[in-house]
Amino acid sequence: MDEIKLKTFLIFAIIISLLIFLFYILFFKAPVLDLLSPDISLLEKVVSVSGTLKDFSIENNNLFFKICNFSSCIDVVYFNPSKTNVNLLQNSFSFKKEIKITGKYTLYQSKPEIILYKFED
Amino acid sequence: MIIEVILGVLTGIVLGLIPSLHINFVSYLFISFSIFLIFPNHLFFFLSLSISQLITNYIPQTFFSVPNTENIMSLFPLHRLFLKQQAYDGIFLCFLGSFFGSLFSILLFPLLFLFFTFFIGFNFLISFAIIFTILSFIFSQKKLKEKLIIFLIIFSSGVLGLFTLKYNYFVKEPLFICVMGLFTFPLLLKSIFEKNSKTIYQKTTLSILPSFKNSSLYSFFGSLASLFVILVPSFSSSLGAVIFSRFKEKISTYNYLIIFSSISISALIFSYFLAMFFNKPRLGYFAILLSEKLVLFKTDLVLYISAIILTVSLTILILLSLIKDIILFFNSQNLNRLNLIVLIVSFIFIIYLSDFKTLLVFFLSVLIGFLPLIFNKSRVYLMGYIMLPTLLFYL
Repeated sequence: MDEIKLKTFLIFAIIISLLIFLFYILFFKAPVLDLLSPDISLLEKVVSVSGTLKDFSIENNNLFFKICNFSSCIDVVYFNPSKTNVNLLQNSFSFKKEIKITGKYTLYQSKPEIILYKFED
Repeated sequence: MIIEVILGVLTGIVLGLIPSLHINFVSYLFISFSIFLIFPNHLFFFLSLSISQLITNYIPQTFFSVPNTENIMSLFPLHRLFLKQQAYDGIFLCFLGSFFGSLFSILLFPLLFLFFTFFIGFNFLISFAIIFTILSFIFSQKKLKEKLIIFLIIFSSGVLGLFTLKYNYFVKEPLFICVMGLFTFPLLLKSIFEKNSKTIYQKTTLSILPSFKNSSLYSFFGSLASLFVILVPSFSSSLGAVIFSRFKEKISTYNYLIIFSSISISALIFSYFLAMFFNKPRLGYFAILLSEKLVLFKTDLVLYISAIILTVSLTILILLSLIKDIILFFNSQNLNRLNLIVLIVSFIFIIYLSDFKTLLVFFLSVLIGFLPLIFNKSRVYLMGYIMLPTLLFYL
């Protein structure tokens, strides 16, 4: 095993990892959580929710807000968001824009909430 | 994710080339200055930074004998090869072990999951393994005087470990401080003040060509050994490597390096896995990351696997392109002068991290670190520093 063979392996591995990433982006879709009648079987799983933001606040580098859809809301927490993401979410909140969030649907002190992982317009 | 991984790889390479800079210290700095907040997917950034820093660290380890606390055992064979002008071979073998070890560790994820879920009681075996290792260190010597010397080295480093790791009341960052004192400073001081020291020019071509079968086999052994290492609390990959070395004494230096580098990278990758599925940080900086609520999701496992493969491959590819230039640079330098700079920079780090009492402990560890050099014994016996506290933890 010389440098050339190892480099061949490495390039092959890089291509494989990029392909895995590509397939994940294309094929993985989180199930949608219905806020009107939330499906309990989706607890502790990654879900997506669309809606507008309410009660937006920042404490100790963590973002807290509610995402609402047809008058039903759910609490959302976003740990250590980047400044860019805080500004984007603040914009959505200020202009009442509908966004789609993806995160872990869980219970905190027996109350359902979503730990935000990513969001998109 | 791709951008965070590439940035993490580049940052890790730069930080990995700095001798004595530990990843725990980097994580403290990053969190203190909220550097993570720049990146949307900061966990991928830190994942790739930690992996690439570990792999790159073999280069300063080889030239300056500055160990990383996660891969101390690589230090001794690397230094041996350095003295034989085979630094490039040593580093190349570490790259092989890291690459194949990372792939095997990913394949061993299901086994790790099963073991951690159902078999957490390995602790009783660890005590026997450590006692076996210590006794084999002592009784492998022929003369009584040599047995006593080995006992002295293990006992003194072990007592230091007890009072800084197990019963620590006042020492800040004991592992980093004592590892620097035991392993790095004595050797650096010796090389700086040695009268008949001469520049050892390193070759920039491979002297040995390990076979694919050998590389993958020993990398697999390393990943497997790391699987057992990571399951047990307080059991570092360095200690696992020491115990493994006593069971398989007839392995060549070249294969040792493949195993040890595989153990280190696998332990790191397994730690991320354990943190994701069981919320169990096994390495110091994980506890820091988890306390900062950098959340890991199980559904991200596919992304993490992809990020790990990309990071390891990209890091090694970049380093393979740079390593010959790095070696040529070192060949053209007065290594004594470089060693002096490393010594001063490391000492500044230590002063930054220490108070007066911690500095006293540091100087004591340097004195103990000189014992193997004075008696011309292997510095592996200084691993008593980690073995004795771990043994008492399990007894």
